[in-house]
Amino acid sequence: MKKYLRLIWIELRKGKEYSLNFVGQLVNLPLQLLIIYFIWKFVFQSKAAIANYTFNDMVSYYFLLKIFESAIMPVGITAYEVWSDINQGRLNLYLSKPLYYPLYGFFTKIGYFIWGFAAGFIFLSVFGLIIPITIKLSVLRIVLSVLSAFFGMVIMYALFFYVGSLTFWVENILTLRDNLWNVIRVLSGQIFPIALFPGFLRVIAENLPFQYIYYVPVSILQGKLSGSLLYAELGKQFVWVVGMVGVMVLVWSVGNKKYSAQGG
Amino acid sequence: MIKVRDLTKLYRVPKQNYKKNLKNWIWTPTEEKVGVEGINFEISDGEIVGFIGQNGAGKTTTIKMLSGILTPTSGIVEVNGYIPYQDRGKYTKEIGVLMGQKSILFYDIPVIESLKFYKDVYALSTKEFEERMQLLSDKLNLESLLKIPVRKLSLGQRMRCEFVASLLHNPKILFLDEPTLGLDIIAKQKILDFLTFLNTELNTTIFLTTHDLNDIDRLCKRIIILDKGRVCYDGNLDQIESRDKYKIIQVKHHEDFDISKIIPRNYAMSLSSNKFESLIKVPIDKLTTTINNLLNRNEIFDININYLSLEEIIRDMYEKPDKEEVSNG
Amino acid sequence: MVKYYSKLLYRFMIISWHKIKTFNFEFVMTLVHLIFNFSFVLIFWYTLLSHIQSFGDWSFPELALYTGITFVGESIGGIFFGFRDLPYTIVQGGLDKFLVRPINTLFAVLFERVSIIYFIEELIVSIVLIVTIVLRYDISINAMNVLYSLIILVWGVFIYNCLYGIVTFLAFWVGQIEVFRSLIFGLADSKQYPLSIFPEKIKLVLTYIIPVAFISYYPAVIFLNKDSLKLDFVLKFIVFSAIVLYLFKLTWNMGLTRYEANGG
Repeated sequence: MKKYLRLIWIELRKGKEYSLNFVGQLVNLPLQLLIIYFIWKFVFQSKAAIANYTFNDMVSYYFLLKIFESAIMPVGITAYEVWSDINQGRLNLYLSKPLYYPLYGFFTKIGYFIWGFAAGFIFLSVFGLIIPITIKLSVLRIVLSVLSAFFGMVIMYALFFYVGSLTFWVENILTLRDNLWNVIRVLSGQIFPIALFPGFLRVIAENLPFQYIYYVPVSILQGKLSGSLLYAELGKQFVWVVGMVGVMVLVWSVGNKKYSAQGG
Repeated sequence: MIKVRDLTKLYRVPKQNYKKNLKNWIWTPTEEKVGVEGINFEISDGEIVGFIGQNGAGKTTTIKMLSGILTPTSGIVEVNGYIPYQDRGKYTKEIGVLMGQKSILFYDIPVIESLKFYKDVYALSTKEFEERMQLLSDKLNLESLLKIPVRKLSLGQRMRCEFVASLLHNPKILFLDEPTLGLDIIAKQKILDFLTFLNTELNTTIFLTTHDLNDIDRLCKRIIILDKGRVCYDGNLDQIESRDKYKIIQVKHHEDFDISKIIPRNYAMSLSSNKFESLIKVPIDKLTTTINNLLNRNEIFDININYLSLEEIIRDMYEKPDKEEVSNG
Repeated sequence: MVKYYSKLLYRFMIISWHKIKTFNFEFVMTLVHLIFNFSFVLIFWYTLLSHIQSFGDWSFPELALYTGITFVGESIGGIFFGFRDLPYTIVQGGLDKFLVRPINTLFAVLFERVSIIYFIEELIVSIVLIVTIVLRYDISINAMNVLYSLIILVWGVFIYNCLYGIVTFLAFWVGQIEVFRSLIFGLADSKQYPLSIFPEKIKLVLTYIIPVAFISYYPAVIFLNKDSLKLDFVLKFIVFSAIVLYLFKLTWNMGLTRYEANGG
């Protein structure tokens, strides 16, 4: 385990890379949020609440979403990494070391998660002073939300790892990867809070693991999920995580056998 | 026919040291840096001229001014009666330009599609294109490469394709910037043979820069040497004076034999020395004496006498005894 | 001259086709990608309008049509795709190879990397969408309005991209300009929403400073006969266009002179 913790430490010290990534996102954020602000201001002229979301809830949903995105999105590179490691034969290098490749890949992403949240909350407290929305936070909710977001990251990692592992069987997976991005976009709540979806879309979204990437963690932080419902959702999320990691381990070992049988 | 008179190019670059205040923070102060300064030369039709100099001596600057990419600060540059940076439309149809490190081919698609693109850039008819392709792909063995995407070619194969793309329009003058950079010996030989063919058979004027002085030795009759933005030699390769005045003696000897002890310091110069081998440079009239001297030693078991290589001549011109620096140039 | 450049345009199309063909599934992927892009916006409006009666005076069919027109504009804008990477090209000295050839440098730079096939696909898909909506929802249109709408759209896209070009050309002097550029043109995200929801000041910005409204809102309004063209408005825009075109030509020429002086 120690070697994997060492990895986190190495990643965390890539401060410059993270700050560049952060500045890049920061530049686009104010305008994006401004546009979101005006749209919802307009929508809420005629109604006080939509699916239990007030104007304030809605704007803060997107606001928090952007922070969570900056922490979790970098995981998406995984599919590309696995694909190129297999195709360019770098995998041999990893296999010859006492490392478990799926775990290695995961730990290199934790740096982004930690930096993303640290920067995100600084950003939140600064801009909270400027824009007229209020987000009530409690320590418990922050802890549970970050926990849920961490699980969300595991789910996202597993999804992209599946796609990457397909390289053992098919030549080009980048097509599929782009479509995964798109599916996540709809079903994880990046376009709308899932509660707003009309019937059929909502049923689909609520029965798939994608909602646990963004929608559930943000909802916990917002206080939309509380009490027994919150713990029930966390429990369901945990079951998904265990199941998906199980599948990941399975896919990897099967693919690996195929890889070593053919001599790479 | 190329004519260059008092050609000067100054660049504006950010100043190295400057006072830090608000104005300077917004507009970083600049200073002028010399690219080339007051260079003169003339090149007649059908010549091959090698353009030599260290990094930053102004080779690329000159070639860029000749091909019309850069506007000179002052002076005259005239090629075939055109002023390159002004008459670009007509002028560029008469020249071919190839920059070794910069590909002009489209990366992901078969070579032939790139070539067809340049056919239309130069507004060639299908007949002209096919005739030209016949000739060029014959000389460079291109046939088998045409259907392959550029990204799958080796560097040597790619360079051959780059040459064809740059020569489709049958240019009278060819400007080459480091055309052999990074090529292996065989690939390089093919390119050099091809250039000789262009020059002798088609009377193409060729102006090339290269870091590899062996290329020049094999290809050019005339060289122009540039140092710190000025021409420091312009003339025939075999007329470089020191070429006939000195010889290089390569001595193979026993382990750790100190050759400097036995050669007369006043005229011979030790160039390099390692465990088993030493190089010394001696004037031609002292050659016999020196060799006799060496033959008497038991520690020595082989002697070779060589010409002064171009590299050593140029090193003398720069008067820099440090070998490493010159080999970059 | 026209023949010369249409031949080259044809070449660029062939090249773009080869690029797509090189990788398996790429053609299908771009199509799937496009359909996803459309569906995001449609899902957005569909969901929103399941909660409120109408979005201002816009119904779902109208908003869907609005989306179609926006995408037509985007596909026409593909002609200017080359501006995106121009700062990088300038810094790398990538204009050299065009300067030593008898080809218009601006033309070559614009089309060198553009995936023409993708934008043709986009154009076809958006026209299919528009026709489908008009037929499905029985929207009454008249030929003159469609024509006017198209003229405004094409002209708007042209002027908008010239402005984008002007900012891009600053790269001749300052090198990497991308962050500054995305800061300004992040406003373009607003093009998928009708202009009428924004406050007056923002409307002015979106009309006369960064004319985003001309690549979506005004063409759609004319198309749907929601508003008619006013003469003074047309005149103002012609003056505005003249200024933009003049500045475009000026900055490009100055930029090229600068490039010729300093070699990128």
